[in-house]
Amino acid sequence: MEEQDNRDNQEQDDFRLKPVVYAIPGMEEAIVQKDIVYKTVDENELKLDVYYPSNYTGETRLPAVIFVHGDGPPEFLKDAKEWAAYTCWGQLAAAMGLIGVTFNHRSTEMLAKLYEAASDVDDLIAFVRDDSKMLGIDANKIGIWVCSAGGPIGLRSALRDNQAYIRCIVSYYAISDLKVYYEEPQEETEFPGPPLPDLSQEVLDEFSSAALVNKSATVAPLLVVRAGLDDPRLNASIARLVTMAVTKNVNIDFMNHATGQHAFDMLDDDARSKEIIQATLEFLKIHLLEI
Amino acid sequence: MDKATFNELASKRLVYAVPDMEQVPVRKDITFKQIGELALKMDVYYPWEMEPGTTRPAVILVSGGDLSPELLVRGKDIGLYISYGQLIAASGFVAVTFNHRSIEGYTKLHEVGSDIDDLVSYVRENASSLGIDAHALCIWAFSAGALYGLRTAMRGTPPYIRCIVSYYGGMSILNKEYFHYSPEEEPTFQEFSPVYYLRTEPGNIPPLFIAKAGLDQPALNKSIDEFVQEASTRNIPFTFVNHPAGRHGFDIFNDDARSREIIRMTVEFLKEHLI
Repeated sequence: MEEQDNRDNQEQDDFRLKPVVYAIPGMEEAIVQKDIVYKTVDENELKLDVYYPSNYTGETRLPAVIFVHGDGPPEFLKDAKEWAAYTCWGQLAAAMGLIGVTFNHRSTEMLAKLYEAASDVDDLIAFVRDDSKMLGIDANKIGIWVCSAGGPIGLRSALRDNQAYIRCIVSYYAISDLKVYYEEPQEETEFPGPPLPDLSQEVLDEFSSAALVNKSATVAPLLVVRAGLDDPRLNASIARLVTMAVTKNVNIDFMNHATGQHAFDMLDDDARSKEIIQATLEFLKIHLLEI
Repeated sequence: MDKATFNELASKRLVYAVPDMEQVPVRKDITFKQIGELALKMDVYYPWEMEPGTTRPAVILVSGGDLSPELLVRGKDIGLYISYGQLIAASGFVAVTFNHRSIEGYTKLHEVGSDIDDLVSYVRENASSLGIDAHALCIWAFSAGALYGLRTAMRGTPPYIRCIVSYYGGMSILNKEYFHYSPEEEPTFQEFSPVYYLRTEPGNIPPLFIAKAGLDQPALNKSIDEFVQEASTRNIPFTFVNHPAGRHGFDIFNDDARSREIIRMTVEFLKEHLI
């Protein structure tokens, strides 16, 4: 038993140490402002890191990409922004001439605390925009990147109320419709352990990007990425988002990594991962810097 | 298509350009197939800096449009294909544009299909004299050209087809709501429906780039939506983009940022999969 725990810990540590499989020369020269507190909850400080282009002088405001990490047990998530992959994403954004923002948000604790975690994302965005002058950020040009089980809370903040300052949205192997998890049997679920809490239709819709796209009059340009080897239910949720997006004729790019695992950007060092990451950076550049 | 529409179309160029692309070298009017009196011809566009005796991957542009015999011999000479030939050559690849027969309301599918097959065979058999790498080809089809272009690209998944692009392309003529065919004709309609190959030969399908014009005809767009859904279910390597304000032919009619973004993405896609 103890051995198993050790092995689990080691696997978790390895995961935290895995960088993104795509790099831009010189990206580690990004200027970083670390551990700015954006919110205090029950004496716990929630913090963000801000990555600037290496030649940034502070004289101009730049668009920012906010990276919303995934979900998991509170202990696992407590320092998510320190994981190698988030450092890399912050650096990659900076290398493209953008500001990268990584931050910690609380766990939804198997969806039981959806609103707590969602309020962290909302508060982070509000903090970044309210303090945009101090941070050097152009408050009207924000991109949101979400992944995995961060989808429900991250895409909610990105899609709710059609905010004009949200210029583009990137969704990597993200849960895109919570209802899928309530419709199908529980085995092999993304959320093993205790049963999922009862959530009303309204709450399920608020945290499902497929329903949010359906409700929205306008949707910021979307890049949706799917990992072919992912959990079938997660991929079923992505299919619903894509179907809704084409039905509503929104500006969507969709890329499938046929042999990609969940978290392929860290786990699958192959040509398709690199192609998708490169296309993501181009997408961010076009919608935040060129349009 | 009538002559006036054709002439209007002929003057339109792509809404995206790169510097000096008009100056790339071209070999014009090479006959690749003779059918009685009718000579089917192709043009080949080359990168500026290409050394003699070397080869490059090639992009074969398959046009749509139901053209009369008088117009089909001018099919490759319209602004759309000239500017694509130039853009692709300026991006480092050989580009092939060509004339083929018309499907005449879906009654001549096999004839057109054989023209595309013969063009690809000609290009491969004469690859070294044409400066083309016979093992690295892309089929890029437009509109109804996807029906026969993707048939050639997907049937039997030939390994020399490295990637496939479809712009506002028809992905199926099997939907009985829009297409009428007898049980005897069904195999032909299957053969000329790209979505059919996702079901019958899902292994080894090369990477696909599918672009949809949001304001296109519902029948065409439904076929694209069906293809995207099937490609997801079958876990095919593909990229899909939608141009919400795009008309059929957005690359010449919609002079906007989204058109240019999609064309740029497509060139990046070629670079990724042909080099």
